Amino acid sequence: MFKKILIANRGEIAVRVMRTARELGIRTVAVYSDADRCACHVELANEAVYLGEAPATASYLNIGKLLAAAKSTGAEAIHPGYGFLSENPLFSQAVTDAGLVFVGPPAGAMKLLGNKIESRVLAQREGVPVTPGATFEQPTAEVVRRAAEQIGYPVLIKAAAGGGGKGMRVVPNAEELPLALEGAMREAGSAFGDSTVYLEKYLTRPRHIEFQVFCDRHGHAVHLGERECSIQRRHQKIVEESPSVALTPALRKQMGEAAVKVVKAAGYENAGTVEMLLDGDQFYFLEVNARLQVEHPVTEMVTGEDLVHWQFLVASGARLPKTQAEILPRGHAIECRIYAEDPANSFLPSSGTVLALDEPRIPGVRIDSGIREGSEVSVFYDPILSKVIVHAATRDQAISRMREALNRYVLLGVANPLEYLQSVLAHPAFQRGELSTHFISDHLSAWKPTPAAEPELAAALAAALLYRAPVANSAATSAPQSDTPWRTLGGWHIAAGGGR
Amino acid sequence: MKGELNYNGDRVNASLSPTPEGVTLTLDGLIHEFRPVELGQNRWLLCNSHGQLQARVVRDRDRLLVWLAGRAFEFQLTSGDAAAGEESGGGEDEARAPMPGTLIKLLVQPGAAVEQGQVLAIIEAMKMEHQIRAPRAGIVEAVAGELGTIIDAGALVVSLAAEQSAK
Repeated sequence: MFKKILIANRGEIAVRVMRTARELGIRTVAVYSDADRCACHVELANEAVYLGEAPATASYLNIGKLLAAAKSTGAEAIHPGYGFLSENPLFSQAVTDAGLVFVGPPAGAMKLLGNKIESRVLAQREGVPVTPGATFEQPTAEVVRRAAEQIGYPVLIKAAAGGGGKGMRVVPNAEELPLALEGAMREAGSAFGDSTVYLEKYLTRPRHIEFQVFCDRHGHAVHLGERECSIQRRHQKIVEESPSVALTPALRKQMGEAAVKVVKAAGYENAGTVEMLLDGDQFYFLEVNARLQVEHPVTEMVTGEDLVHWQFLVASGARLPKTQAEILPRGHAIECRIYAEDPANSFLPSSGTVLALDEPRIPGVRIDSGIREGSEVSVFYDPILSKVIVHAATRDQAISRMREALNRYVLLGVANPLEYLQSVLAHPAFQRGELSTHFISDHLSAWKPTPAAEPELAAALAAALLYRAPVANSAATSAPQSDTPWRTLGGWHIAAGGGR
Repeated sequence: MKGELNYNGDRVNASLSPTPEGVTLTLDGLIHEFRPVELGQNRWLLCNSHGQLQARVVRDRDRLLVWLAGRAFEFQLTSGDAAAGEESGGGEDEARAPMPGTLIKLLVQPGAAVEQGQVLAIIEAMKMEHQIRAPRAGIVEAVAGELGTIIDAGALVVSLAAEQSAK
């Protein structure tokens, strides 16, 4: 096993990777930018190396600086986390070429699976169903129109090199095709430097089901069950769970085997996720994410395995710790992502200072967090703050436990979706397990915070007024240190509303 | 001491006074009795005949943020030391940044005529672009900041020449 590793990431995922490393007695090297001098991941590491200025291109995306940091500290391996360089084949190759170990798949497999057209072809070759679609040598409007007609509207135009909804267009009919095609190609070209697009049948109410897979260097491959990630906004997941209520044991076996087949054929190694769409009982291969995913904790909770530990084992050349028959999921797990964003304002990212933070401490609740009180949430990086993950015997109990955990999660100073997530979990359709990728647009598109009930508003006002230091002393931010509030309260009165 | 609080943009009509048992909060003419227990570190228990509510309070410049029984409240102080700089003309002449970010595009120059809703500038924050639009039709008077600079939430990005109206 490694003696020292470098984590080429920040925030909650860097903290989470470090936790396992520390448990295994592996020394950890953090890297940081100007914006992250005081970040949690820096504090938790055994050593920390400064990379550069806040913009990611000058710091977390700079391969040269990362390799230099690994060399100067004597780290033997680099864990890329998710995002940043985690799915960049050049980085995987550069780490290997520098004589270090990349904790992830080899560049070749990553490159093959990173191209959505090539990975579709690979899946088809392995007999795994893909959504009806078409690829083009020359995507002229006429050729694409004919293909779209064969597939049947609505169709989806997607970028071959794409992700995150860029270069993606839903086309409801033939009239809108030419403009959508032009827009998708332009967007793909500017986002990925590759304007290649392809067509897919657009499924109107599918579920997003993904399988966690793992391969070692000795030809072994297993899956660790599924995660349902149908609750999404802006093509980004916000609530994930395992198992999915939509899978029968027979369908789970079929989909799991298909997922393993695809990554094996790609010569894959380490942790990966095979994403699929489920329409009724028909599943379709979508894509492979060649890294550890944000939502990996739900799989850890139901299987009892530590996937980061598995990653280290596989990267150091060991065999997979378990066979398929030895992986036995128990109970139900749900994860909610806490982003710095304002759900009432079309989920716009928000930055600021975490002024108050009390994370819930409840058995069966796990918090993967990258913040503490006083943390600055900057505008430079992905706005994820933390994740709340619960585990319980049944889905209903897991939902109740999550609602209690969110209710006890105190977070002030940065806009966050705690109240919004409560609305998702309280929704009858969610509780019945009637999920699809359109859940939010179907049920919560017009969401607004519920106005506070009068007694609660009154109590909140009372707390604010009890706390309130004299206005003239704007630096005062501590509560009165007295056994009664009256020494500082004075005769407090708020003027009746009137125009200014 | 006098001061004013806003909640959701509206003036709150409330007063707080001590009683032998605790405090009385009068809100829109309704009376709420509480017995506050200070737990330290800005944490309170507000007890009444229905039970008790946990609260945590922090102050951030002109905002008082309260977490109470599972939800967050934000009150704005609208008094002397808060909200400086609101005296510089109407909001109609200004396009401000809705959130902090990097100024990545400025699409207008001083002297340009703009339509209401026209995109004037683009700010990038946390991997997302946000458009700043003209609050009304008019002539651009000044543009603030250079490309690539970080601007604060609420910062002035583009100002329009004042209309013929009494200020």
